[in-house]
Amino acid sequence: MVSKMATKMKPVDNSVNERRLRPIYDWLDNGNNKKALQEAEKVLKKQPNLQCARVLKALAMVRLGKSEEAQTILKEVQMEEPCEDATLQAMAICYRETHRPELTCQIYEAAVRKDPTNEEFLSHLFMGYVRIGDYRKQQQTAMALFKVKPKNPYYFWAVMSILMQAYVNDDTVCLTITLPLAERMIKKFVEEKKIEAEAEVQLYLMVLEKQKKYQEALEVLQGSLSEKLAPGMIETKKGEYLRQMKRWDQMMDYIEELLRSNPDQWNYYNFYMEALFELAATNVDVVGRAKTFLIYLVEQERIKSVNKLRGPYLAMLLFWQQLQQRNFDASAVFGNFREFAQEYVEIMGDKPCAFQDLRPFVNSLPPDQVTEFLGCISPSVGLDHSSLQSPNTVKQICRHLLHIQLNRFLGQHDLLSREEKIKLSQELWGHYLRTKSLNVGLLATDFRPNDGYALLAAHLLLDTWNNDPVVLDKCLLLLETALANSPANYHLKLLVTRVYTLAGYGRAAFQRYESLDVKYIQLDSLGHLLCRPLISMGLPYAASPLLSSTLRFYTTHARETSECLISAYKFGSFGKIPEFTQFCQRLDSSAHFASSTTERMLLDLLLDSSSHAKLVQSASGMFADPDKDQPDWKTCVDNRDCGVFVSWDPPAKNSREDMVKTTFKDEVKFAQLRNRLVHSLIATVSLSPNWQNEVQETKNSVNGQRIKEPKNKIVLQRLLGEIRLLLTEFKSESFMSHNQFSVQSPPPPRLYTYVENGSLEPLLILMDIVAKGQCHAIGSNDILGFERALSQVIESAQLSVPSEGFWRYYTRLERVYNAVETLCLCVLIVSTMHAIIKTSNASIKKKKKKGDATSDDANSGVEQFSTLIRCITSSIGKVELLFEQHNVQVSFSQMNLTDMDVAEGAEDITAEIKYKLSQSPMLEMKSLLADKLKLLETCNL
Amino acid sequence: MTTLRPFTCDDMFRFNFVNLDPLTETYGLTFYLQYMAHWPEYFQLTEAPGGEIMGYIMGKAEGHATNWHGHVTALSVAPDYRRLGLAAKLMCGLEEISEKKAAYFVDLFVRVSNTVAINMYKNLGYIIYRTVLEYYSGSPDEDAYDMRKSLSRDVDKLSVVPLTHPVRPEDIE
Repeated sequence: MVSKMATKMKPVDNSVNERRLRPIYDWLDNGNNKKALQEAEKVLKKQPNLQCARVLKALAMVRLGKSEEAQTILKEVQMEEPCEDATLQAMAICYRETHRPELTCQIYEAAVRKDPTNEEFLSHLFMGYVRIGDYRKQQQTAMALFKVKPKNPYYFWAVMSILMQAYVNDDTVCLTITLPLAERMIKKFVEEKKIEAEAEVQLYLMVLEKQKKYQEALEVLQGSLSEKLAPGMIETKKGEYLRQMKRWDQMMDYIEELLRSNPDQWNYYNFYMEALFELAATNVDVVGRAKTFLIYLVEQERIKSVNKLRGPYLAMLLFWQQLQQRNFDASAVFGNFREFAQEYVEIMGDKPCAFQDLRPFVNSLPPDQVTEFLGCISPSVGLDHSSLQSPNTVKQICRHLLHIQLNRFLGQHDLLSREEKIKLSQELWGHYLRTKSLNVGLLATDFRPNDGYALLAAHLLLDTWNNDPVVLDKCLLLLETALANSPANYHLKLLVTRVYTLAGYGRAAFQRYESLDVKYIQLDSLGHLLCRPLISMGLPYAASPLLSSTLRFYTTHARETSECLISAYKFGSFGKIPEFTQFCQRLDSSAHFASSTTERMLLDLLLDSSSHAKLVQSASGMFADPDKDQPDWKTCVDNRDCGVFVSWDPPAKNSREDMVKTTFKDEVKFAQLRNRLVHSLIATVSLSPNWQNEVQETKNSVNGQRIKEPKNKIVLQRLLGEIRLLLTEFKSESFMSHNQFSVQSPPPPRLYTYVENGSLEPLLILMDIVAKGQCHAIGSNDILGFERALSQVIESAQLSVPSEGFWRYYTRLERVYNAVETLCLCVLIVSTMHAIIKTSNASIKKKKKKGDATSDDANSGVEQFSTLIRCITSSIGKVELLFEQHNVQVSFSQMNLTDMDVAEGAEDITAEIKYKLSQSPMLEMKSLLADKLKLLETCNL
Repeated sequence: MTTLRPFTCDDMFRFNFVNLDPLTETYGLTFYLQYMAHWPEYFQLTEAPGGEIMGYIMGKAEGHATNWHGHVTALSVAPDYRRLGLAAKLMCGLEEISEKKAAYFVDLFVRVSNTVAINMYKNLGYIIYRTVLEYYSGSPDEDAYDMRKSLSRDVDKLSVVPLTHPVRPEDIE
């Protein structure tokens, strides 16, 4: 609230001012910036020099989009070096809203120079440095603050600022000078018994940890300072320090002590195993000791009748796994894995988490023990598996599902033939239907206990997919039916979204994705599920708002994070400061951010260019800088949450990690290619004669100068070269085949079809002509090359169309969209060429009139240019013809679903799915092409 | 078999098993970051052996004099990890910290329709201190129970004498 600042003004001589300014603050707070502006002007008529009124006027202007004028006012006020709190704070708000935090530092630096003992100014200056991350100046300012007011927080702000310097420059200077300084500063306070807060002790530990002084840190934990620390922290830290110092026997004793009082804390077991096996390398006896201890913990649970803890049981499995992995004779030491796993299944098998619990350990089961293991847990289900008997209780459902999940995970489903898989899937679906009656007393927001059958049935069906669209349609029917019964189950929603995507049903996928209510940070972690795939499915108009909200998230986070950093200093949460800084960086370097930015720009060019003038307007409005507007591709990070899909696939088949790595690498490559493409397109459009006019119109409101035409030509040539280099590099690599993509893996990167289709070739040829300045005299080789390149793109779209329609295949649809997009971008370049030719023809005509030239160049130029247009027009016609040949409605009604007994409601569900699919996926592509065809018609010479 | 540990920024990238649940709200970054900045010890999560996030609790300490108390802002457990006593464990941790901070009581708000949660809190020793009318906006608005449990500092249990009349949201301190 801006108004809060008003009350801070000195009342003595400012009471009149405060009364006058109050209404401006009120209007600003109410969001009525126009009124605020008028009110400020009224005050300024009476007191033209009143700084605060001038700044508030500027603030109103900033919010009204008049940044230029506001900057002028702010600059003037800044020159006067204001020294009054309300003015300074209002200026700080202006700078924050215009993303100029460094200016806030400047005004407070000036204020501090005038009034060096003002605690308020110094404190604002410190926060200003925090916003821009200038740790050295933070340190100086914090010490200045401490000298003015010797409060502990100021002193420790200085220490933290020193520590941050060490985080950034991890070099010898920081080890020999920076960190020892920080340590000395804290020690001084410890010796003088001035330590007041937990935060100060934590910071002490952080400084010691950074120097790897674990012994000293351990002593802090054992001394009187530890009383200030929160519960839980001492235990974890002590374990960690012992580990760092490799004091394994001490560590083992200590962890045993902790586990006795808290046998369910899982990370203690990990610590325990590490210490144990480090010791076992020289002394095998400890293995026996550990066994006795772990069995003791299990015994403690065995005697309980209720609320048994899972930890001790799983710890036995972990122990067994570790023995196995470290080449100990696990069965000699331990007995049988089966025994403990079986006991675990007995106790916890009726909880939905049982599979996830067992997964990490079952993984290490030797192949020859798989059947035995599965056989021994089978009775715990309590079902006659041969007679297709269905469970009678919810707990039995859980046990049954666990059994099937483990069977799948241990590779039993891989042994089945296609027919057997389909049969099993039908059986599971039968169980689903028969157990529906057990779903009683549940809220709409609860998962249904039998949802797992539907998910497993769908997974089994998807095993048989092999690019057969009918399989996907069946899956959709199952999943939509299950979702209708269990509307809150996000596992179902995620899977159904993915299946719609694989089937190329973009709109339906979008609808289901929306029901997940993905927002804020999830836009980064889950956005990959649909953002880019929507474009591939030929829905650029639908993707557009999704990209906008995604980008809004990315552009606001930095400001949000820096405010929270300030809070962390204020509340002394020093541990969070490096964490927030890294988090901010992680968001900034998100690959999804880079890709969304580029795709957003491309869509703006594509969708907002119904005329050449509009194209120029949207291209110049991007103020693109090909050198600055690209991230460091090497440091892009993968923030996708690829673990969000549940899967019971065997680890080898799944190899999710490889998939994640490869798709990430290829998504980054694609983003890089697209980034260079959008900048080449903008550079091309910038060569249009209309661009200059455009610039003159916007010159007043835009800061910065336009690059002159010849320079842009060089830029364009350079960019085209970069694209060619990238293409050569990518073409030499072997891409993943689409069959390798399972339902749970991330969507296939568009890079593959994009490069294979040669989507960029026609564009490169056209842009090359522009870059060489040959628009009015296009070489016949270029024309031929263009025709060939374009027809290759169109052909691969045509080839990707099977008789029953391409919309049932994600990647085929993608190839069609690639063609559509290439055609549309061709039109944009051609419209630019047209503008260039027209202008140069006009000047030739002028010259002709003067009798200076007699050449027929212009005429032959017209002829070649018309050939280009004809080629594009006829290609558009070919793609439109593809659309005409297919009717979506056919697809779903032709489905052979009789073998899936969907029971009551099946017709409704089918009708609903059909309704979802009724909006043709071609609609957006059609309208895009129609729009560009119109633009092309205006390009005739 | 849970790892209880402080919530960190990176956890936000993979808390989807918890947050995709329709009753769990995903807030803007500032919300989470401010809690981490202000009350880091009050923001804890539980993790499964495989690394999945099973649930988390967000809380804070606030109030003056005898109203100094711990407050539960959000408590959520992923559907697949319910009925394992995780919520109780997380609540217990929050009470422990509040004891350490010498708070008088812990309180929380819950939808009056959320009987599962209300019963769980009752089992943990919480009582319905008062009803807050139309606390949750929606169509229609829903009342909340303000539930409380006293801590050892409140020797005479004065904080848990239930109010006899409901209050409006604007009347909550």
